[in-house]
Amino acid sequence: MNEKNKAEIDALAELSKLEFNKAESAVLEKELADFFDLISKVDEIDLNSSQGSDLNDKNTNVFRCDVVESSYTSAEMLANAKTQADGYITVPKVMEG
Amino acid sequence: MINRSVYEHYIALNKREYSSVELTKAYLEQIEKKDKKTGAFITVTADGALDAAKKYDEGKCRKSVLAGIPVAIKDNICTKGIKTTCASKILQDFIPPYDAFVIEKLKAEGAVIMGKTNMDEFGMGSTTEKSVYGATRNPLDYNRVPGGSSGGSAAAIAENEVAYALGSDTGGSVRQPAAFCGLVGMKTTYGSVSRYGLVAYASSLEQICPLSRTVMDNALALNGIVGHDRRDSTSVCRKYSDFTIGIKDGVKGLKIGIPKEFFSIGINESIKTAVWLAAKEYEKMGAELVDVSLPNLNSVLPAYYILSCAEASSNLARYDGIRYGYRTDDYISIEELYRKSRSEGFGWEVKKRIMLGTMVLSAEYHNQYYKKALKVKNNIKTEFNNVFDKCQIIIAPVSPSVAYKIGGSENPMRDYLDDIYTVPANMAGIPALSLPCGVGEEEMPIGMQLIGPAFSEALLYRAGYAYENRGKAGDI
Repeated sequence: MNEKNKAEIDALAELSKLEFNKAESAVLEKELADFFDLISKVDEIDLNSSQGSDLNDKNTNVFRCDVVESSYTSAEMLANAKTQADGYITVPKVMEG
Repeated sequence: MINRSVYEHYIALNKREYSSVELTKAYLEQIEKKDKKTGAFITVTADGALDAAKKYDEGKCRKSVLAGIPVAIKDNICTKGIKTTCASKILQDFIPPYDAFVIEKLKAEGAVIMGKTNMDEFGMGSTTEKSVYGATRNPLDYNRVPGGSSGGSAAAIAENEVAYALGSDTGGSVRQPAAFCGLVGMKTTYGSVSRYGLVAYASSLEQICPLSRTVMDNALALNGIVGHDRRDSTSVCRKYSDFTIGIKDGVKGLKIGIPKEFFSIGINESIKTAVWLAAKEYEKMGAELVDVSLPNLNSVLPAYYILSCAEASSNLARYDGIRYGYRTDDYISIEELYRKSRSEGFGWEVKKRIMLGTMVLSAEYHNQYYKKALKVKNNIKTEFNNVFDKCQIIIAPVSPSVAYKIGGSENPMRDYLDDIYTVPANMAGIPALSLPCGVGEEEMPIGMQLIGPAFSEALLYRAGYAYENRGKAGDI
């Protein structure tokens, strides 16, 4: 794998919160390149403004009424968390000091 | 009794030919007997199913058409108290605290939920091989895939383990398994079935959809799950009529478009012929065939993968190992917890699509790819609208080939390219009905698609029913 591709994959992995070992990175480089070839075809398409816009401006946002309603209990919401204490989810220390 | 249609079960239950408990037990026995080989189910909920069946028999639930009849649910649709894994290690222990809208609806109808079916992880695939629980096999040939990503739902019906099933269709994930297993699958109009409780992959493209043995069953199943839901902001508020009304009215005078582009891109000759012969059958039944064109069809597939991966990278950012889902044992910092939990919890295909989605959303590529893909999406809607000025529905193939051999996908690009005929309906948000139209290589079924304008499901069912029941006296 060349240095430029490795740096790009590392940067994307960092943004994606993923990590790959050396062997995985090599496979990924090839598969992403193939995928990139496929999606690059979109760049070759000639669409002028009359053929399509990137936003559908015919639609308007629909807001729901802000009504208080019953929801789930803390116990129900915490049931799937791996670790918890005193009704809170526990996580590793985030702040230094 | 297990190979009967939903409608036949409805009649039989009402005549008390058998009880819902007897029917449910018969399907559970079939699952016990067959599913070790087929691998359609991730979770079987035998106790819950028998409780629901008992309620029906004791007259404690609504006597709707779907009441008392066993159904399978794809494992990306949330079921309260029942594991919902998306066939991923990252959600292998996840038990939703709530039911999806469609599950609420089915429970209200008195349906008997038999369990959760296998799929490609998070819906990313077209073979149901990319599951942490292993591959599902096609009951018509165990050496072949059932299609995907809703392959478990399709295989469960084809193996007579349930009467019908729910899947989800982001780029063909219900229609292609229907075609590979000789079944009927409807990709519904975007916004017609609530996505509340559907684990998100590509939110602007996906819909929950019914799979069944017959067109009539599919219409009955859609009747049970369609409707507005304020918890899904893309749910369309309108009155949905009974989809079986007029289903037997035939196709006389119906204008059916034949888009030349669908018959020219790398298609297997036997499939091309089968779909063409189906078109000629429609002509014999009084329909008019019209040549139409979607000139930018080739642009749709790359745009689809840009948008679906972009949305996946955003939607799957929620899996961080904190509130729910898999958490690594090996971490010191919170950053490391995120990175390792995600890297160990997601499968290869999912990680690849997250990476690609992250790339097309990055500042460098956003305008060049993501915004261009949105333009293509709007453009294909316009092209379909232009086509529907000339005809009422379109006929097209579902897949360029019949069901693949298991493990035969040495080139991962094949799966992406084979979505060419199914993704246009998702990109345009319009409905498309997949139904069998013959057999091809080694007697494997071939599927065709009937595609119509938004909210034309009833018309598609009418056309599908006419083809399915052609030549049967008294039906049309």
